[in-house]
Amino acid sequence: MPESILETIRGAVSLDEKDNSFDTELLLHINSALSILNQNGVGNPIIVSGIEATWADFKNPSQLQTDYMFESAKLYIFAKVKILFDPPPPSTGTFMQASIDEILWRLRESYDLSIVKEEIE
Amino acid sequence: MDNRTYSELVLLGTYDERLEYLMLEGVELSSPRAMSQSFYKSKQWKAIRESIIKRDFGCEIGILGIYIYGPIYVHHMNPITEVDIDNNDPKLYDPENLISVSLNTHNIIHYRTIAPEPYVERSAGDTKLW
Repeated sequence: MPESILETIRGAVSLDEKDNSFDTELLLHINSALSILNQNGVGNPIIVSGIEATWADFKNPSQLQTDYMFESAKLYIFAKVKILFDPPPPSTGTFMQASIDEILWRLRESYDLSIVKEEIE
Repeated sequence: MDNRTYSELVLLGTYDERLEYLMLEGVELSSPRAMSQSFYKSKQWKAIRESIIKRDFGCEIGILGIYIYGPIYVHHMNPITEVDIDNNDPKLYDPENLISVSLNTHNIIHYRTIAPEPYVERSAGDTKLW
């Protein structure tokens, strides 16, 4: 898997990793998903504007204890982009949206609550 | 083969590889309707069915991006029997034994109704009927 966020998402939505034809639309969706994650306590606040931004830039070193959940953050971004970029049929869309909501809930439980626990301790 | 698992399945990358892994040649749906209907209408089954479709994002054989158009089937990778239903066997509800598929794929898995079409080289004039 490439380290670049944009290239990863290009590949995940079935485009060639080097194909930049749909970058304008993809970047909008990626940045929207990243901001939602960040508001829920996941990762660093970053804006992706090209292939230079990597997953390492998004990963917050102070959240090492929740590192095991980082792959779910990638999955959330992919699913969120996919549902906007290439909408599924209604029968699938309902379940896909439910999965996305569940991933976000789990991420918030892991990242946001771990911060709260640390503050209490 | 009666030990297919979801964990093994997801290691296979393509639709064809996953389909080959799931093939149940000659194993037809066999449980009596009266018995299977009550099972498929049970709350326990409906709950696990929904969680499996969510896990697979409603996509074909769990391949993200290949959407299922039409009804979604949750398929038992290792076939279940009347005895399993009668005993409420854990494998009925085991996520490792379940996968989301379309009707078409489900039919291929059980009956292989659609054989892959052989590749035919195009040639000049091949659109003429006679």
